[in-house]
Amino acid sequence: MKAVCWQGKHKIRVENVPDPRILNDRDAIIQVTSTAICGSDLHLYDGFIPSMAHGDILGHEFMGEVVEKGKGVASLKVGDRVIVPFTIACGQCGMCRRGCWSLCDNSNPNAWMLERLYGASGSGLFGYSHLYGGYAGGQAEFVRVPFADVGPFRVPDHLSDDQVLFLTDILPTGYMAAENCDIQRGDTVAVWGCGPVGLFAIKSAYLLGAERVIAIDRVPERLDLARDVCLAETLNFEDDDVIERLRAMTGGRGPDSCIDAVGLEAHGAGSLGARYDNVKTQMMLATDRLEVLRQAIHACGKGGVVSIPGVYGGYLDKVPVGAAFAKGLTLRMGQTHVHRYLPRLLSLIEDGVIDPSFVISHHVRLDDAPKAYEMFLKKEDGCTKVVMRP
Amino acid sequence: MPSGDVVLALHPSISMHRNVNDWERLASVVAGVLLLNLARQQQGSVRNAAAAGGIGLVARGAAGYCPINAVTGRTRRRDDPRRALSGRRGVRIDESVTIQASASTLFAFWRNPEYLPKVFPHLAKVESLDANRSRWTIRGPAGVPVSWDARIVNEIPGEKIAWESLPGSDVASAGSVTFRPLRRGGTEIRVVMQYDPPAGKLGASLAWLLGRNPSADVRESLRTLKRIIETGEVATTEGQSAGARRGSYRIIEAIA
Repeated sequence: MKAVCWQGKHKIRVENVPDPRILNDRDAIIQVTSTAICGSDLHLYDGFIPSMAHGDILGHEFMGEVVEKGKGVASLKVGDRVIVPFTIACGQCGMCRRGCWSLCDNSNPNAWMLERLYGASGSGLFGYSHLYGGYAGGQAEFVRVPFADVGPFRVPDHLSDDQVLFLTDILPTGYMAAENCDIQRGDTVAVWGCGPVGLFAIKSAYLLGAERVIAIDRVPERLDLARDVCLAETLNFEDDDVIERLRAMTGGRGPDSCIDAVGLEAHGAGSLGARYDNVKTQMMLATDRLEVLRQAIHACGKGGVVSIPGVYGGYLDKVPVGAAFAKGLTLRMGQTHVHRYLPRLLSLIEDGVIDPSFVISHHVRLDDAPKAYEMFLKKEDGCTKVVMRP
Repeated sequence: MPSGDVVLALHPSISMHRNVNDWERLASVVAGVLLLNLARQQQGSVRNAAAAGGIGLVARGAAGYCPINAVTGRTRRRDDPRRALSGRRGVRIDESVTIQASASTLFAFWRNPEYLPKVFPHLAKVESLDANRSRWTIRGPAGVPVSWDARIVNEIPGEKIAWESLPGSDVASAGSVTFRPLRRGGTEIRVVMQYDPPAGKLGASLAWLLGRNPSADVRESLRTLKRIIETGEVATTEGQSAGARRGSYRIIEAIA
């Protein structure tokens, strides 16, 4: 089969690889009908995530049809059309039982590695480095799905792939980011990053009762989507002093909650902190560029929540914990508990409350993955989201 | 749980057999052979004395028994767990895991000698000798089998098993497994054990350098146990598809 393989920093190749096969009783094989490139795939593309190996198959947003299943998978039939959560969960450990699916104890075969780095390991992830299990991803014609009796979620035929594909990751991620804000009726929420997760976070914040959402980015077409489709007020961080503007727009209180939908590769806008991060990461002295997180903590109003769906990986330098403490902020973060949100979000899609397909800017063939990654990285051609059809 | 939980039962050990430790046995044989060699080049009473001494040392080394030690009560063999593991001697392992299953289920699993080798990859086999005693064989460093006989010194069904090795074992060891049910659901299993590795702590360090870290091995085994009990399988990627591999996985080792 064809698969999108990581071959080093900024090197993506579509290769012919052996078809996947059932390795455990609870596995299933899915024939992929649609798969997307996630913003977090760009962290891999840029070589920011350690423990990638040449030949790793990428992709954690994918859906398709069940073509084979192990004998432990009673809940699926061959032919079922499913979306597959990017977090792999066993459904039976203490974490899964509490609904913390992305913290599953049992799905990461390399749990010991993350234990050494972080003290404990969350769930395995598809196509996201060997620290997270080294599972082959779904940017391929076929993919093996472990614990297939728990993850794959059937979707109705009357909804198109484009409408349901993002249930795999970015729609629940945006939703959980907003839910983590404990939004009260009438709140103002600020969202850094108007990529797909940020856009879904804006929509979700309104659904959960926010009165105003202020979105921050610098890419014009993304700001347009935030304003025109998601109805946010927008700030361009290259033109505006974000913290001053947020203060002015909120009667001096600051936003009630702030969402960092950017993560470890923040660009900043030539601020001192951003330049500092840039130099340090380029000298391999730092792991993350965190100017957005600093701004979010600094801007957030007293007693507020800073919610972090953006990915961070290492030891963060110059985090204004003093400001967070002084203002009594709550910081919430983590991989998305995708499984938890699927029924609720599917019904929002079915009822027409959300049509996630608005974020898609490009449809390409799997063969065009190398070009698509480059285009997405450089934000060329108004690229917000790429969906590939094998 | 205090370390006193490693039950080191006092039992009378009148050493009628081996009372010389392994290194000393080796040294005895070497010294004996040298002495016999010396005797060949000597004459008269010196030759006789050297020959007698040489034979005695070789026999002491080969048998592991020294009459002088027996008379003076000196026992340097380290197969008595009470001696080998007292104070700061021995290597200590203390690992635990939480499993969503009842203590009685987990206890039954642990008590079945057939199951443990499925979980502990280095455990070659466990043989029951009688109701209380069993023989344990592990694949030691460099694949050399190491075995010991153990007896259960304390057993509370569903709660605890404690054991110690019997005299004559390759490795003196003692340990306990406790099962603690949690109010939030599930059971904590805690394994505390101490053992006197062949070639002492230096040997343990060497084994660690060669990639065998007993604490990490036990932790991985407990993880495997948890996965088998909770999910019925062990998550793996072995045998999955991949593109062209290049280089090794060194990057992973560097992080770990």
